[in-house]
Amino acid sequence: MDWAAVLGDGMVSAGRVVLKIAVIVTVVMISIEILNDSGLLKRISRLFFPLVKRIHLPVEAGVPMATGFFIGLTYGAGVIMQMRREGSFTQNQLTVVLIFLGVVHAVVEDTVIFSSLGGNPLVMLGARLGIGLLVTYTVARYFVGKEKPARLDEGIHGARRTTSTD
Amino acid sequence: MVTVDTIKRGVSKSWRIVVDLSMVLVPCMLAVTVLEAVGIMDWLAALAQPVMDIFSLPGEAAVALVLGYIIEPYAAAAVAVGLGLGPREMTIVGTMLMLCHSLVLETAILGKAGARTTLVLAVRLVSSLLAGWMLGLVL
Repeated sequence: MDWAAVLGDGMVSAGRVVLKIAVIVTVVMISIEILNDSGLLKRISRLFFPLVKRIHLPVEAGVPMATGFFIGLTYGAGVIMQMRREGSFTQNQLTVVLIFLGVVHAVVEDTVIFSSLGGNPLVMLGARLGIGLLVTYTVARYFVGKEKPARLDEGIHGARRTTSTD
Repeated sequence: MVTVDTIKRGVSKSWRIVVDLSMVLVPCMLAVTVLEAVGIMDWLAALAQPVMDIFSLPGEAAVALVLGYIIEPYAAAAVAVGLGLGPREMTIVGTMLMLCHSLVLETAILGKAGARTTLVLAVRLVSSLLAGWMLGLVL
């Protein structure tokens, strides 16, 4: 067997993939830094508010969720650790946010890279979001739904309490 | 505020990501090339075929899935490309890997942030397997 040719082929295709990913990652990371520094991300976080209200989370939970969703797990987790120190979450709410982030994070980067390697971006993203929302909602129903309503009575949650059984 | 620093930070972060990724991706792709050349891949593929049938994937896909689940999804997807998976298979493997990947590293991160690690692990694995099964049926 011609080992030089076998390994050479391997190196060439590996190099090609690394190059492709390098270009995508650079574009995505620069966009992310701009998203962050321009304060746009904070505004985009509002898109998550209807979702977080629906699953009985405090609206602030939208910020780490949007951060992890667009930027990545490490950033999202970082924001959560900070909020935890401030006592913004109960343990159950934390569980729900982290389940969501565990399944759905860095969606732009992931989708672009996997589609550059041959996957269908719409199907992959659609399936991921669909399943992500399903499991988050299920876990939220199970954990937060059972939590003492005392916390849910305050502020924004009051309006949503009536829907907790649907 | 967006300054030159913003761009610099983006570039230096992506550089680090690409270097880290190459460290995993290149050896993995080489290893798979060698495994294929000596025929071990065929044996592994045959072994995994019954399980991969659930997702209507070829047996080789198991190597990419296990690699992605435990270590790194992009390297795993690159390996899948090297194994000759077509667009349909890449869509299924890609979705499965997006939902569940880098379990060693990411479970540690989630745990540090206060997650119930067994629950997160179980949910991610189940989501991934469920997605693979459903996409295998419809695609």
